Amino acid sequence: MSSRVSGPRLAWAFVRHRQSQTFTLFLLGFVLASMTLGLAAVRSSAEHAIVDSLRADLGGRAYALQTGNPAAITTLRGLSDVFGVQDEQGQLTADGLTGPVVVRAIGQPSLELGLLTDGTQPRQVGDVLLSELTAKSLSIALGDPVRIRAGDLATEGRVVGFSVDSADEYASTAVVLVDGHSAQFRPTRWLSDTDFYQQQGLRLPLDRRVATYQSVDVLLEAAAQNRPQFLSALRFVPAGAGILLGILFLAACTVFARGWKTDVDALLAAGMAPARAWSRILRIVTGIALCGQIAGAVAACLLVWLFRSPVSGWLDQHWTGIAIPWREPVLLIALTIVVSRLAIPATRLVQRLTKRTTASSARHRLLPAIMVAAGAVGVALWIVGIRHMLQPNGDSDHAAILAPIGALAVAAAIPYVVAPLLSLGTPAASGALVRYLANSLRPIASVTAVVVVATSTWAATTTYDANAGEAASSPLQPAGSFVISEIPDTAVAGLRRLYADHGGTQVVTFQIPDETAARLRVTSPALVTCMAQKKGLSPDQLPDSCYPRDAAAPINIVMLGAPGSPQRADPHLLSQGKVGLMLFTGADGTASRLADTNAAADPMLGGNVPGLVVAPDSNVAREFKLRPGGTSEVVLVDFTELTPQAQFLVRSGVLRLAPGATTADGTDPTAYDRLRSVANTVGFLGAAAALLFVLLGGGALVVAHSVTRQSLIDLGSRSGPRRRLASRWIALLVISSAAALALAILTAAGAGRRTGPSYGILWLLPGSFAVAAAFVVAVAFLRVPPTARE
Amino acid sequence: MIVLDGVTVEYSDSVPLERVTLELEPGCTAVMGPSGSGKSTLLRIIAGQQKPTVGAVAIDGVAVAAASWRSSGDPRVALIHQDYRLVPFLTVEQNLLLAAELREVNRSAVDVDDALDRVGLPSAMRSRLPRTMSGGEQQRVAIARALMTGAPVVLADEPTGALDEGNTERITEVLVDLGRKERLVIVVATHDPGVARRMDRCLRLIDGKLAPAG
Repeated sequence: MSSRVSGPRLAWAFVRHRQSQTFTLFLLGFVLASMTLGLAAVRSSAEHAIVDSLRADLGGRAYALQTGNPAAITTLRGLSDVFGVQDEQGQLTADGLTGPVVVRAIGQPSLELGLLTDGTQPRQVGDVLLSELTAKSLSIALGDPVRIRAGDLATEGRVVGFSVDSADEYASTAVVLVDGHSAQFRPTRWLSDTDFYQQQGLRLPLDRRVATYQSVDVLLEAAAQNRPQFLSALRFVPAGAGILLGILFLAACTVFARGWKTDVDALLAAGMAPARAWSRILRIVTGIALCGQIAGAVAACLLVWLFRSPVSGWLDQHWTGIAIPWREPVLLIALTIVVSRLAIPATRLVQRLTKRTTASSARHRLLPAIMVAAGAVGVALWIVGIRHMLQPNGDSDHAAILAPIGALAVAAAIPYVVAPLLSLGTPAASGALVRYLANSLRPIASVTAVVVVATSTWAATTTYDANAGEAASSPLQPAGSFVISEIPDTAVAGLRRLYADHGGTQVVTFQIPDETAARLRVTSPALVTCMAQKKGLSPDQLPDSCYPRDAAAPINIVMLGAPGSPQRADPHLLSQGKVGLMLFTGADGTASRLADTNAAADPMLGGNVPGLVVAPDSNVAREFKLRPGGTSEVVLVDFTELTPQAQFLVRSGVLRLAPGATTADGTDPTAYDRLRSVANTVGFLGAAAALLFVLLGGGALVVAHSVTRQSLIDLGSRSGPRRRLASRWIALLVISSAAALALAILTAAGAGRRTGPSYGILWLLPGSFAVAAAFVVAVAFLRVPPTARE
Repeated sequence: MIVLDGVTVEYSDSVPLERVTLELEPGCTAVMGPSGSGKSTLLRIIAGQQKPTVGAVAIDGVAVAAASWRSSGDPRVALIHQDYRLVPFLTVEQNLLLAAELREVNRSAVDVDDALDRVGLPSAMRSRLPRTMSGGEQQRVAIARALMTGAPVVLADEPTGALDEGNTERITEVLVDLGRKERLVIVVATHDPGVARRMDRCLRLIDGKLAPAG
């Protein structure tokens, strides 16, 4: 330790002197980091578990292909670096006990599936890698003989290893090595490190889409997107906890700053320059906060690691380790350092402003008049903007932007208009005191009102637009459904079983026609008529008026239903019981033939689901040569009625069963959902900002008015008059925030022009938080201030 | 010698100092005047902690260095406050050594004892924290701290304002000794006529203007 007093000894002496502050800041830093990082570690570990699970299930290979096409399968069997996997629901029997398992038969020992926890991977035919849960349930130990039956596959073997599925605690699988040349081994998917499209023999089936494949990166991305509900909910929780605790931390610093100012004054009296004195104190405080944060981060990671089994169990997962998120702690520490570095120029600025306030009282007398004038201009702009919103044709023009601009100006002016009114009806001396107190609060109330108007208007307008847009458009698929397209016909049965195992009951399947030679599309009869009248057979050249307005897919695919079934079509494409048909044979987007056909309306069709479904033996199928192409589209109709965990497991199962399929989820965030998310985020951010401004600004004023507060007590003022004084003072914030809220919704609603769809409720948050924070400031004002002496 | 040449300090609504021209020799000078007459402003101007609107201040012919965000003011001047402003988390010894360190003056524990002795405090007090001492003792530590800096000019703003009669007597005695025996320039702003009488010279400020002491 240096013998210089101004070195570390000064820091240590400060820490000892400010023990309670040191402890509080350390504790806040600790809680801030442990909450943020702990939650982030749980989220990160859960996300990694999902990705690790899929990666292990694909044996670490880079590409996955699925097909039921015999020619493609023959080509695949002839390739050296391609590994086949046969997935089947089956049973495993050991020592008289039988249990259901997903059987994964592999033909080569070099393909290692699953996360090994004990023993070895299968190396010889008959070797079985069994999930821990199944082994425990059936009391199976390493080396025990087992019998496996799945579809046509029946084999006996020996358990050589145990595995876990990190994303599914209850997964029950058996990976068995079989003779890759046996007739029983019929892979449903193939894995390889080589791009399948590079294989000459596979290009044609891939082009004809009788075989589909995906890179594992795409699947991993899909797996990462396929978050269980709890993970989606957890996504913004660490940031939210960070913001809330950060506000608390800053508020504590603002309160403590009064004591630090005394310490700095003493250091200045000892001959230290202001920059050095403030820098020294803030560096010590930052150091304490960082120590707390580091300790909190380490403690959180240690706790999550120690309790990874129960924590992952709560999430129905099975973690073998944890994934430490680096972004959150780095961001937290960087933010702490940046804020502490900004605190020095901010302190300097405050000192300058304080001096300027004394020197420019004349200018300050002008400020209210300027603000009131700005408010008057704002009212005029707002009225002009609203008038433009109320255009008779219902479309607002560019001048409508004047409404929110005017609203912001009015919001900024409200406190300057309200402040003089607060002292009305009070005795002269009390009135002067109210005016004095209100004057210092005006800038804070003004900034808060601007934040409330800006964020509430944005949140309300965006939510309204999203709701209105969604109401005006037809759904892309049946509500609550999950659509899997281009799944091989061979995998459909497995998918049905998987869905039924997790509680699903309604499954609808359409076969996708072979479109190698021609593509048949369905549309409205009006569009077909337009094409015929315009003599142009490219739909791209038609005006918008030709297209059916309400259809989610104005030109849609035709698929095959069950033999003998009636023709059904998207109701938005039907006109007088008919739909239009267009046949495309070339690649230039020009229809080679136009026709129409009768169909019954089926509300389920349209959007991501086909626009027309015909029987394979129907006239349309025969006339346009529609034949099954080997893949299907499956609609899991009651998907959202499954539990969130079951939904997640079905989605994961689809990725495994049909890695080449494309999926569309009725619960996926649509553009409207994303708009609403943006609106909600703006609402929350506005609330946090309003809270921050009122708490920090109001708190600073409470501290600054300590002498006034003390004087009121010294004068013998009873609590009643003091409460009335505080109420009138804080009324400035309450009235400004409430008026700003009213102004925001009036602006968002175009002064009543927009009706019908909801504005949501989150636009209320910024103003409500500001009002709530105002009451906290009022309570702080009424507290007896501490004496000035340390 | 301190020379103030036509110093005026002007705010938008008041003039705390108006055309003050003054020479201050080594020894003790009292500055008296009613509240708001400009006493503290005069001391801040001499210490370089405030810039005059008009005029100049020099010590031994060299202009006083102004305090700024990165500078604490002129190192030739030490300022003593009515509320002592000792660093509350440092001991007496550390308070004294810190002041010397910040002025880059080499001082040892012996110098601390010497400074405490000069203000009439026992060396046993060196390890005490300010909050464990009386007001008079803290003010004497503040004077000792000024001595540790080796500054030839010591300014005291109402140094006895918060002290009882006995402590006022002791503090005045210390300041007078420093002026007379050690030939430092001591300037004391005070309301107390008793303190002013003990000084070598007494100046009176009325509405920012200098008047001969009555």
